[in-house]
Amino acid sequence: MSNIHLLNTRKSQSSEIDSILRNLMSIQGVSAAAIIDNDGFVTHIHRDSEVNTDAIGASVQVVFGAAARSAAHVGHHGTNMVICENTEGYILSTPIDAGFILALVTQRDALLGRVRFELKETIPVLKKLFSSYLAN
Amino acid sequence: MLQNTKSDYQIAQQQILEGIVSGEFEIENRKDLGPLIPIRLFQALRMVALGSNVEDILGQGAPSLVYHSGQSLGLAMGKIAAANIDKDLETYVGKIKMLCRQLSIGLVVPDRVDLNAGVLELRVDECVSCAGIHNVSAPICHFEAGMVGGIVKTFFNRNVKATETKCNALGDKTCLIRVDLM
Repeated sequence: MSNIHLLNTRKSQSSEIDSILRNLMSIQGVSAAAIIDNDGFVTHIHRDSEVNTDAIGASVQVVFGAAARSAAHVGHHGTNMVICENTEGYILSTPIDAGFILALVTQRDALLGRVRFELKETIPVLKKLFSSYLAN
Repeated sequence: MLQNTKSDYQIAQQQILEGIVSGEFEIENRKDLGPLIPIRLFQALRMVALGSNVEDILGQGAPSLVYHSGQSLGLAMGKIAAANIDKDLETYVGKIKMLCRQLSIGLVVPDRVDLNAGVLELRVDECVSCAGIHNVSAPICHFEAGMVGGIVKTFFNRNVKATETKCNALGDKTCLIRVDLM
């Protein structure tokens, strides 16, 4: 059976996702919030400044995949979040469903614990939305 | 501080793409063996080096990398095809078809073009990546999907999402790539 998942971003429900991303953007220090599909394509994004969406989408998937693989090598299964700490801030990525990932980019002054908490609170909501999209 | 020097892979990439642009298929240091290779060698590079091996390291990130690689080639091919055609879609598609045939990537056939709906579907018959491969559980030509996405993106100058919806390796006899204009 094929595992193709076409997410129709023109659907009106798409605004619910946009609303969720907008809320995440209101957290202190968050400069971009994006949803990335299993091919590394950015399906939804809110950001403060211009971002190369093709490159960031593929990179987030690659980094998440590599981190999950390295975790599996030490017997850790089920990667829930990957945090990339940079001089200028953080990139946090979390799986949603069917290979989709929610990624947040922050500036250095972001409170990591707060961002992480909000991300964890958001995922169940997104999972529910995606399960209904993907079922249709 | 950002370095502005090219990596060795980027240098090689530039030379390969320049070779494609020139249309010159003869190649130095291959006096006896010539410019062509068996398709199985290409498939080994595509499905092993850029497939199962990458999957071993990147897991679910592998298709993204392969798609992105294909898109880079598609963007380069698009630039070649878009030169001096005055934005004429038919001419553009004709040049892409010819380029894909010359490079033995496959026989590209537009199956559906609905610009009002923002959807294009292109068939890739005799696809170089999956010819002779059977019994897979999902489409495997992420490289070709990315390539077609890059080609369409170049022409329309818009973000696109390309998805392989039929694959010869699934028993579909052709590869069908749907491109949604965003």
